Amino acid sequence: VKSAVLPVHVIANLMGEALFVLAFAAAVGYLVADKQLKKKHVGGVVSRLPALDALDRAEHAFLLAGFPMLTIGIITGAVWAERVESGSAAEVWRSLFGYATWMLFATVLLLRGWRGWRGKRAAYGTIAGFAFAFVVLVIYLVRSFGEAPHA
Amino acid sequence: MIVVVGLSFRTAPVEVRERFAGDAIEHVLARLASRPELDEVMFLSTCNRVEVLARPKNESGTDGGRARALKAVREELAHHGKISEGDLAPVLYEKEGEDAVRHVFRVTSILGQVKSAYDVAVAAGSLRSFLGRCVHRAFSVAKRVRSETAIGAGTVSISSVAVELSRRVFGELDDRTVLLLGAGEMAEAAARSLGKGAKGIRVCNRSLERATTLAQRFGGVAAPMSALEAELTLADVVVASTASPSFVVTRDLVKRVMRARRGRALLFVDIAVPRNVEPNVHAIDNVYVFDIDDLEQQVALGMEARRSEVASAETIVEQEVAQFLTWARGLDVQPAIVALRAKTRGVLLAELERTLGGRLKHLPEGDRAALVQMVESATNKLLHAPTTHLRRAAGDGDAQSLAATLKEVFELPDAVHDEEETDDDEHLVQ
Repeated sequence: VKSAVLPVHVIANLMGEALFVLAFAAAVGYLVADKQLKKKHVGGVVSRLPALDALDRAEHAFLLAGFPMLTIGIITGAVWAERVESGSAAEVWRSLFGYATWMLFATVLLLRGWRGWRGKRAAYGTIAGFAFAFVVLVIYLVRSFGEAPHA
Repeated sequence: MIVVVGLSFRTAPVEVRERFAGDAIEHVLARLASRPELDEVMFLSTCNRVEVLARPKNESGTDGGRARALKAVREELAHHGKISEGDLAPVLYEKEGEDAVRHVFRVTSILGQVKSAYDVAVAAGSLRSFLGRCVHRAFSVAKRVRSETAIGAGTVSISSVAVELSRRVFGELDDRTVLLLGAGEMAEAAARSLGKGAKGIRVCNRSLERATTLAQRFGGVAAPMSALEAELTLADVVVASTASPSFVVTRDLVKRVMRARRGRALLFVDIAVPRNVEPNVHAIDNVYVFDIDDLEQQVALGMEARRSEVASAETIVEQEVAQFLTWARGLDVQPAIVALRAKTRGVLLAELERTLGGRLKHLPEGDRAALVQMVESATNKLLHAPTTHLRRAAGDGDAQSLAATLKEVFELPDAVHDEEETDDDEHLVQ
């Protein structure tokens, strides 16, 4: 059973992370385009970016696709953790950041659907969520490569 | 010569320009025309530009006439904008003589509204031979510029910038709705360029009848002004061009609309002066407001890219200015030419008269007529060279001194007028 959970966990997390990178890029693009348009600079950077609204929609689409991956990753992670009962500090932090990421993305998606929180607010939420997801990844990498020689 | 005093989007922000949108141009023109300092006058008022073209009275010799005329125009403009002269001064530009002519030629080349300003001035009788001719000349310059270069009339560029902005915000417009606030000429121009790609056009206007007419022409839907909030909720790109003196689209309204839209992006292109959209609407999330100044700036940037076109337009303008100046300076020597001709002809005819009354009393009528004819052609032959010379000198710009010399040498009187200039040049009558 162990061998079934681990690959699903890794693959779901990797795909989720990839989609979040794309959502993050779109969010940053949106913020840049927004800032330029608010300053009424239409040429230059803005002319090379996709349309503002397209960036907003892309960010939402990537987030929407990445979220189920993250959910699967977290569930499989919880199952795995229970199995190995590993309680190292890094492990605890990783799960905490994982849950925080999930909560943040859930909030961004829900607010967008319910309250129409698009644009800047959604972009900031996406960037914050990506930052948490990135921390999770960093903790994982540090732990694995840090521990590898001892294992 | 002429003077130009005015303010434009380059010198004055829209906050100042919109103060000048109130009074009817006929009214302003009438006040200007009643000023004794001005001989001829024309008043141009567009959303980008408020300008007075005038020919000062008693201009020649001392420069007092010109200075008085400039002062009179400044006073009238301050009155028109309900702004103090001190506040107005920094945003005004003033041009005189050759520069003024060049300015009129340039502005006419890019602005269709000069024609209507000209028509109003003609109807009011405030244009005569000089300024009237200058503006008339400007129209043919504009025609040349339009046919020989790629620089079009202003509205075309504004519309294309509006399209460009919509693309930056929304990408392709095929699933977007364009709302026209106002159903005037500008709205129509916007509909023509934006309407092509859009999913639908909606027109909101105070007069529903005009809205319907415009909507039908572009296969759109018309709505009364009372439905504005619902219309804003439906639209993606809003082009505002109403003549309303106060804001039609306020911050509170857009905040409500954005809630109803669930935050979907909204773009306002406000080409009205005074502005239709409250400026702080731009600060609302996912809402973008571009007013006429922002668009003009983009147009100017676009112009930069078409610098070669601008250069060839400039060449045309320069040629025409030189031609006009030759004509105008010719006017300076015209009185001298007329006086010289009158004197020569007068002397010869008087002598002939005397002889025909005395020694040649016996000549029959036919021979007398032949002698008069001879005097006429002698005058023409004799004066051909000096006249040509004088006109050529006028073109080179040193006519005044030559005309003065001529006057002195031949002891010409001051009060002889060219028929075209009858009561225009009182300064010649001392």
